[in-house]
Formats: sequence, structure tokens, C-alpha cells
Amino acid sequence: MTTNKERIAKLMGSEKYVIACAHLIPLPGATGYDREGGMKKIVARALRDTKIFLDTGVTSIMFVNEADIPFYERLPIEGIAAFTHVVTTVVSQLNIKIPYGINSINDAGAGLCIALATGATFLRGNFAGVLASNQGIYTSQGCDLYRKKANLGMKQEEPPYFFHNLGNDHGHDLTERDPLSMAKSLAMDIYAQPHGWAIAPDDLTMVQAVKKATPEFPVVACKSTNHENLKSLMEVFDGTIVASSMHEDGKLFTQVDPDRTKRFMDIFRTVGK
Amino acid sequence: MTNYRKKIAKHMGAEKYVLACTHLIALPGAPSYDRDGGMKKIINHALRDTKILLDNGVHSILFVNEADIPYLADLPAEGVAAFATVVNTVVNQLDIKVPYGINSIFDAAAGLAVANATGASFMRTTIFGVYATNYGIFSPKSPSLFRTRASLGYKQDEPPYFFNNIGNMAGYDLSGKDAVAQAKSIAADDYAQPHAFAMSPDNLDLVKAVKKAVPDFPLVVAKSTSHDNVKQLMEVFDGTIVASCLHEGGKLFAQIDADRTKRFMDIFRTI
Repeated sequence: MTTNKERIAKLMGSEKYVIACAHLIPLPGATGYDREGGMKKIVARALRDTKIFLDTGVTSIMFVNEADIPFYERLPIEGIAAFTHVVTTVVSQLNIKIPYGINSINDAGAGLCIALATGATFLRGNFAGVLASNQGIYTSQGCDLYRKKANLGMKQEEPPYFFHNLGNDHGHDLTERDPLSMAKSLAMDIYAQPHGWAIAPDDLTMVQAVKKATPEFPVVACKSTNHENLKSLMEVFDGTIVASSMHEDGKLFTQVDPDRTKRFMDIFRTVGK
Repeated sequence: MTNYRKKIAKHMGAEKYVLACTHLIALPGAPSYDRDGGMKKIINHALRDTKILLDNGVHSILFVNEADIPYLADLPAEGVAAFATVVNTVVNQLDIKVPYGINSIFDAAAGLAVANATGASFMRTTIFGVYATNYGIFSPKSPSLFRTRASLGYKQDEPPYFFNNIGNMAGYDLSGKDAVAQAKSIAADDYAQPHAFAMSPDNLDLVKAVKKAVPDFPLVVAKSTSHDNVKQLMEVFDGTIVASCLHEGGKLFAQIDADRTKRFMDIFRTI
């Protein structure tokens, strides 16, 4: 029986992997959308940032509508169409051969639709739980989302693989489960479950406990990875989502910095050595 | 008052023009979606059909989710995303230089979302009236559509141009207006109005009455154009949407026939 951990390592082409975020600038409909720059500006920025990642040898790319803040619980259709258009264009123009994924904040259902349209093989999202957040209550779309995946012809064990956010990164989980308890309960739901966990590296004892309780699920660091802590984190985690530490000045909403990215990947290549 | 007749003729590059439909096969979520063929099959079909249309010199391409029948009033997210990918891929791979448009049937808001993403410059819509259709009551949401359009940064007189169906195209119009009354009332609303009308050619007197009532709006044929009637129809209409008569066997859901398309455009060029 192949585990989710093995499936995802196979998809990524290595046991340890970097999921590098291509943060999109605000999409149509979002507060910060640039009406003058329009789609052209969004596409140009995504092409630029993604090209640096590819040139530097990241393991995979994750497209994120990071700048659509504050996030709707359902991404409006002008956002879905635009997100799809950007990913289709970047994948085709840069001829991307490595795995790429979608993080449609806070609408994993929209992410699934964009993944199907664009051939993306993984998603990050909230697939379970009820979060009290800065923007109100987010209820995961689990029931709809797993049914939709099945109805669109994708099997549970097939891509797109879901990296579920464990541990209240986006809000306080009103189910009152800690990451360990949530991971254990989801791991039992074999008919409809995520395939990997994304968890903050703040409490490594908790991360170790999750790993031990659900060894068949890969665990990736979902924030705060940087040049200094990367090596030590990779001793615990299977991979890392990374964004800010590859950006100019290490800031969330700046563009990708080639030098920071290169240095990060140089360090990553020494992991385990 | 903008003369959309002149403006759209300029956009199409001709006084009389063909809006050739690329009918997509069923998108994800639709009953006939082919789960095995997936997006690849949908894209291949659209590439093939569109290439024939371009090779034969049509003035514009209209991408339509024709096979998504029965149509939801809100195209689901999987349909919106798939529609955007297909248009993006076809436009890029075939390097389309002619105007292209979107007809997201029964959901003009989804059409606008796809047009905004893909750079499409016109849409076919049904955004006025209330219709009793085979699938229940269809009540277009034009107040939110025009607000979204404005919030995305578009001015009323800019693309995407809306070719709006008038005269019961989508079903029986419960608003009680005939095509002339509907066209006149829409044309008066200059803050939020379509830019052209699509109309059935069944009653040419009615078509002429609409033309006379709203001379600044172009009128295109919405259905039934064929090799036999196109010359005559173009004496009345400014352009025509065309689909079935370019298809194999002249059937709605068949793929495009190169020979039929060539013959149609040869006739059109003698107008």
C-alpha cells in the first residue's frame, strides 16, 4: 500500500522538497486590483517571479492569490477566471515541467477547479474545521469539495494532492482540536482525506507528535522558513512552503529576489549532507 | 450618444461581419463532461474548430459553452476555470489576431469574468427580461453584472461589447415587451446598456422595426443563417452569429466542416 508520503515524494521527485510560492498581485475584484495594469501586469509579475524559481531549481511552484486580502470564503468568478488565466499562461510560456499547485485563499473549492483546468497537481487549503478569523468565520468546504473531486473524475489517491493547514494558522479553530487530534481524525477518513499537512514550525514537539501519529502523511512547514533555520527544519519536515524569505527584503508582498532565492536553494541542496 | 454600430464595425474591421462560433464540448461539471478525455480533449476540439474558422477568414470568433446543456444560471467554478483555460490556450496557440468573444450561456457574469481574464472584446448575453425556459424561470442579474463591469474598471462604451439577445431567444419573455419595445427601453438606459442586439431572422419586419427604433445599435442574426439565406439576411443585418451551417451535416453539436466553412465565407465575401 503506497502512502500519501510516498506518493507526494514521488510527485516531487525527492524525499525533501521546496514548494516555492508565486504570490500573485491582486486579482480582478480584489481590493488592491490595479485597473490600469489589468491582467497584463498580473501575468508579467507572475512570469518574472516564477522564472527566477525555475532558474534556481526549486522542487515545485505554488501559485497563491496572497494579495487578495481580505479573502472571501468563495473567490468571486472574476478571480477564478483570472487565476486560471495566469496559471495557464505561466505554465505554458515558461514550459513548466516540475509540479505546480494552487493555493486559493480561502476557497479550496475554487482551487480544485483551477487545478483541474490548469493541470495543477496539488493544493494548499483548509479542508476541515471551522475557523474564527480576522475576516469572520470560515467553514471548510469538505463535503462539497471531496464530492466535487470525485464527480469530476479524480480518485481520492490521485492528484491534486491536498496539503491541509493544521493548527489554526488562519484563525482559531472552533472545533477546538489541536493539530495532533485533527491529524489523527482526518487520517482515519480514508474515503475523503487530505494527503499532507502544512503546519507552522513554532512548536516542534507538536510537529514531531503529528509525524509520529500519522507517519503515512508528509508534513511541510507552512511559514517562517528562512536561510538560517532551513537546515534544522528539514531534519523534522518533509518539505517547506516558502515565500517571504525569497522576496526582496524578506517581505511578504515584495517581488522574488534572485539572490535570496539562489542562496536558499544552495542551502537546501546541502540538506542531509 | 455613442454610435455602437460604427464603433463595432470598426472593431470587427468591416461593415458586415461574421461572428463564428467555436462550440466547446461539455466543460467539467456539465452532464456530458468526458472525465477520461478531460481538459485535453476539450482544448483539442476547440483548437481544431477555431483553426478552420481562422483559415477561412472569419471576422471574429465567439467561444460558446454550447454543450453544457442544461444550462445553470450560475456557471460553476469548475466551468469558469475550464472556460478560461480553453480560451487562453486557443488564443495563444493559434495567435488569434481577430476579435474574439465569450458566450457563457445563461451566465453573462461568468462570461465577463472569462472575457476580463482572457482579453475577449465582446460577449453574447441575455441580460434583460425574465424568461420562462425549458429549465424553469431564468432571471438575468444585470444590476450586479453592470456593477461588476464598472468595478473591474470598464467604461460603458468600451469592450467587452455585449451582443444582447432580444425577442424571446432564451425562452418566453415574461416582461411582456416585444423586441421593439425591449430594444427601445434598453437603448434609453445609457448608463448600463448592451452595445448590440442579436435577433432571430424569422420575422424580418420586426427586425427592420428594431433597426429603425435603435439605429445606433448593430443587429446581428442570432440563429438560422445558412449558405442559402446569408446574402439576403445581410441586406438587413449588420452581421451574423453562425454555428450549425458550418458544422458537419449542418448539425448543432457536430464539429466544424472545413468545406462548409469555406463555401460560407466565399458567399459572404460577395456581399
